[in-house]
Amino acid sequence: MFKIISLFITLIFIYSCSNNHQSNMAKLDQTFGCKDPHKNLSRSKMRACMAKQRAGGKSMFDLNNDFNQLFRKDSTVIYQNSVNPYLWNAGLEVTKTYPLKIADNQGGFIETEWIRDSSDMNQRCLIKIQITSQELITTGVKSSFLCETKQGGEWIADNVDYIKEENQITLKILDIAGNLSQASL
Amino acid sequence: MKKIKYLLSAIPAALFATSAHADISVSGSGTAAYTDAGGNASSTMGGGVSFSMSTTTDAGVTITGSSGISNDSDSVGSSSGSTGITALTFAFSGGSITVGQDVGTPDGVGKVGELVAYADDNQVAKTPVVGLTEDEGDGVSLTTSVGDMTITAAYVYDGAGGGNVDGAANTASGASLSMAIGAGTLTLATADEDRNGTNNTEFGASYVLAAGGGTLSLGFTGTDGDTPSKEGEAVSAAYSTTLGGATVAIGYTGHDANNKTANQTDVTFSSPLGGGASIFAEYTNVSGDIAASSSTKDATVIALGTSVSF
Repeated sequence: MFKIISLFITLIFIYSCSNNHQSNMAKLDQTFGCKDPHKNLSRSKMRACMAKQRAGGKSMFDLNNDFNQLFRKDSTVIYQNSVNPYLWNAGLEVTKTYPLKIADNQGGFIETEWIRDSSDMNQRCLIKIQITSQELITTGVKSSFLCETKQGGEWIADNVDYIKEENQITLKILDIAGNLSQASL
Repeated sequence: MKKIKYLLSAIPAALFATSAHADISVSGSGTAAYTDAGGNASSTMGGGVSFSMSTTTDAGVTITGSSGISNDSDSVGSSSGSTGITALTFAFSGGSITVGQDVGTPDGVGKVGELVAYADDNQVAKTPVVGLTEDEGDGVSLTTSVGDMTITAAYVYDGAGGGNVDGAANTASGASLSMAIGAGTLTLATADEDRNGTNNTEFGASYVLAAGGGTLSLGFTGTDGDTPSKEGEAVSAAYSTTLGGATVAIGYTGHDANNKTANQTDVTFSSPLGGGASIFAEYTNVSGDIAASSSTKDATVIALGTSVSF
């Protein structure tokens, strides 16, 4: 057992130095076919391999390609997200001119870094966007502003409600999401 | 802060999706064979469907899992019925590691002349049989390359397929190496087995080269250990060629163990029929120190069959 483990470890070490393994295996395939000593096929797999080898490498049906086409249109698997992708993309689009602090696509949360206007360095704001739905619905997105002013060297929340601006952001996100949805049809 | 009030941008973003490459490979085969052993005729029917599903990680490691539906009762981990994932293979750029239920040790490398796959089912046993018995089961194998050499190491931790990693009665291990030497390919292999305390070690070598429009294979097997009927040497040779699209091969293997000898001569013929179908014929004969013929088994067996690859 110890010898085998040592052998494995040694092989793993030299393994990283090899770069022509695929070509070596291809040559062995050509030389040995199903009886390639480095494949060690079980008896049942050997018989299946021999059936194909006897047939000149051909198959009656193209099962492999048929199944690939059955399960997918191409070789890409799309993983389902927990928030609506159009709303999420729209949120990213709206905030794309600002550096993002958080962009959690599973939680549907976007938060920008502090945004400053060069004309007034004593104010800063950030935008928070929360996508709350998997469906493309008007209540599936919430936007909020948080702004601060600098007083005595300290940043203090300005306690102003930016309802109008927040609605503008939300409406813009819904508008872009709608366009993306239409474009995908 | 006016800038915040005029967030106007409408360039469509890239589609929101995380993608990964995945692949599903499906293959199947079926074989029907008629076997005649000294007048005793029987039939063999088998085959199955194999599913191989693979994906590639962000680091570039391709992981493949295989499962199947089979009608073949003589293989550990691949018996008749449906099987789940019986093996996982992790393929890197420089090799692969397989963890599975049908991992085999590289034994039998030197017995290049044993060609038949069906005709030996009803053949009488040879008294001296050089080679190992335990060659397949739950285990792990690693294959890699160093320069032009291909190296494989395998460890079967439970030859009974029970998943017992550290306490199984039957275990096996081995390693093999192949490389181009001269005009041919040399393979060296060693394997050992522990069958409930009975230990045997096999060394095998083969040299395969193109000759006379065909392929000539030469092999040697030596076994050392606790089983007298296995302890000895076997020499083997085979030659295969194609004749008008058909493949013809003849092989010979001579076993010499425990002061007994037995010879096996195999001849195989196969021809593709197109569309994945083929016909085959197998002839095998053993002589020397062999078991007596019975109502079901004989020294000379022929098999005729057809196989289809789907």
